[in-house]
Amino acid sequence: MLRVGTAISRNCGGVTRRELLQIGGSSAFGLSLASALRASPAQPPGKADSCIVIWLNGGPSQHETFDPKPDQPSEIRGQYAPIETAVSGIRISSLLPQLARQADRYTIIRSFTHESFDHSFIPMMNGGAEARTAYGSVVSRFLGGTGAIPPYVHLGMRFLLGAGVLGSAHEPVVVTDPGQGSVNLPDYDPPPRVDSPRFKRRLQLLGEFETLRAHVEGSAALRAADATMQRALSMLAAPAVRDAFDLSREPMKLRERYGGTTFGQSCLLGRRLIEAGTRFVQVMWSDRGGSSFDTHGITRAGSFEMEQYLCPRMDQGVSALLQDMHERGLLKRTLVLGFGEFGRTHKINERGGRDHWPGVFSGFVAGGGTPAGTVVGSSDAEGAYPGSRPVRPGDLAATLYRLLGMSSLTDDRLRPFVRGGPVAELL
Amino acid sequence: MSLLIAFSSYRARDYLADIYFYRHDGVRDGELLGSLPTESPRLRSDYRPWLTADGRTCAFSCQYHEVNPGELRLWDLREKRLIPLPDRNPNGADTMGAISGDGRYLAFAGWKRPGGLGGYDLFMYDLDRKALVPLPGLNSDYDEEMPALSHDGHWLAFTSNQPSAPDAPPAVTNIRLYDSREQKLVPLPGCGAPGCRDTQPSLCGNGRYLAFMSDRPDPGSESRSGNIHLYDRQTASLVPLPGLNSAAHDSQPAISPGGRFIVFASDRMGGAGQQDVYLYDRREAKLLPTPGLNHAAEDFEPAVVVLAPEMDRI
Repeated sequence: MLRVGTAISRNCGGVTRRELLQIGGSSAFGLSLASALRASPAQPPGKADSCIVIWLNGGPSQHETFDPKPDQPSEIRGQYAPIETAVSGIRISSLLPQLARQADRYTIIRSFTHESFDHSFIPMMNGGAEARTAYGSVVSRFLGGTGAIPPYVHLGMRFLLGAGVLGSAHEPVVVTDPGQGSVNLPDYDPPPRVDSPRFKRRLQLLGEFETLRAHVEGSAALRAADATMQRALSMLAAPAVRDAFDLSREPMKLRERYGGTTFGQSCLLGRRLIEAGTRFVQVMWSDRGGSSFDTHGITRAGSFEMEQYLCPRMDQGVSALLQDMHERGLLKRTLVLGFGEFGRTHKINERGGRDHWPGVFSGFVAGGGTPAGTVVGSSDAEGAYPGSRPVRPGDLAATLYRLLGMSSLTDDRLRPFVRGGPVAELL
Repeated sequence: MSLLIAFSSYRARDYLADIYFYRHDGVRDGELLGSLPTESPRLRSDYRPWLTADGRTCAFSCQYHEVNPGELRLWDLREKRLIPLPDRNPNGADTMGAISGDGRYLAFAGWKRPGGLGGYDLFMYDLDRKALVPLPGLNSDYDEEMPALSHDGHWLAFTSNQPSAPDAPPAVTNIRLYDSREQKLVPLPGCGAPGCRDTQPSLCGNGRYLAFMSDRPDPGSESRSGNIHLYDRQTASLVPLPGLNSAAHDSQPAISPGGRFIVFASDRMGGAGQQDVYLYDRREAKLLPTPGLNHAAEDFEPAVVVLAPEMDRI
């Protein structure tokens, strides 16, 4: 296992400290990647070639993001009025002004619903399927990579949902904190099959690749490894791969446009990886020492974290990503989705915050052949339950896979990973 | 060393903030003085500090994880003790405390507090008389928050989402000004921008300058996110702040009593952490170096006073 650096994200279940770069999950270094390379890549016939999932950790309030309820009493509507967007008739929270200006680039889903009140990647990141397998692992298994670049990359806080039955071959490459050039690297462990003092140094991300490349070229242990193993290591040491992870190649103004936050820089790195050929990128909400969208009001009264930190960072990172990808023509063939594990209660608690609520919540979908400038589903008057067109996690999974050209109707092997039907309005 | 800056930081604990103090010479040098003691380091979070003009008292909001819904504290920096405050809000959170420069008044926002009208309402406590000050005409059925006081408590800036028409849905948050002597709202012509969210007000000592954060487009920068703005009540116009804003999210401004310095938080690139505290000198029209202030953890919600008032003239 190779780890670089740490990042922290917090919810009411506690603090989690995450590895920055983890290759191969708990398997021996490189083995999982090597196995992944054995999978035969297929050309996806779907509307999208690749996908970015933005995980809004903690469960953002639907009222303060994409589904404001201004006509309700103050204990339901909250403090933040809706604003007009670029699409006539669609209004979102005034806490997301930049996303409001880009509302013609995405579709809002206002009727996500399930039954789990727990902070968990299940069901929203596995579609509630029997197989406890992340979307990215399924995509890695059935679509494979597109070249030297890893097919499945995870950016941000630790991801507790693995490849499951698909095995460690389809675990993601994990980069926890791509944007902090000066981040300390306290969790560095040398890979077990590459024993060299050089690996014991604490290195920054690019340094890791340089070191890795040196070992690929010179290590006797590696020369003895099987060819696929060497190919896996070479892939990660390849200059093109190294460059894809190198955010310093981006103009500083563009980096700042994404925001100098872990999340913002993760969004930018997500774009770079998609551009380089990564099939599936997960961007996790990561807030060093700060907060997640788990805004009970238990560490700071009220919804002020939504106003002061959470929504501005989300607004900046996601809007910059959508605009940047649009300008580069990447949005046409890249599906971008954003959601959390659930929403928040429609009634504000005594601390001025909102508690867990999976009854109804919101997210967004952009690119990859999906429509834009529209809304799928609705919540009821208070924002507590679906009012129309409920979208369950299984429906989300089926939609994601279908847009990427994968369908359990034509491939039985996909059935364990799909427990719903695609949302026709998004196809 | 003439400037005292207080700010919140996550540097000591993972997600519970502490309040730190930093002294600056107003030019290029400074030193970290330390932090407020925490009685229960595992649970208590302190945030949003506010200083009296003499730097003696720090008002702040605090919260014990799931123990209380949020309350206000006053810390005497010289005596190193808490100053007693009135009873907590029985209905919910009290938060966003702001103390007047002379240390007499503490304004704050209360959620569903008795005596209020809407969700969040504003209250002002007279620390000498130990009684709430009536604020007729200030609160509404909507939300009034984020108070900021002038030196003597005469002027109270705050945010409100009250719409112009009665019984209408809430408006986008904007900044208002209340005259606590005349007990009436005072117009701020040329300050607001239609449809844009203005928030986080801070008043200088005599109430002339009003610093705030807005998401309005700023032709002076490439920013598409929050920017800091400064309104001059004397000229009823915005004052340029060259070199202050960035393309990243700049927020939480606090202006010094004399109006020369503005501290703020920013997500911009090149800082020590995700969010850092910056010090802007209006006279020099530039950011000042603040060695030792920021940390790899987040630093935010700054307040500033100038202990040598002659330095604070603009």
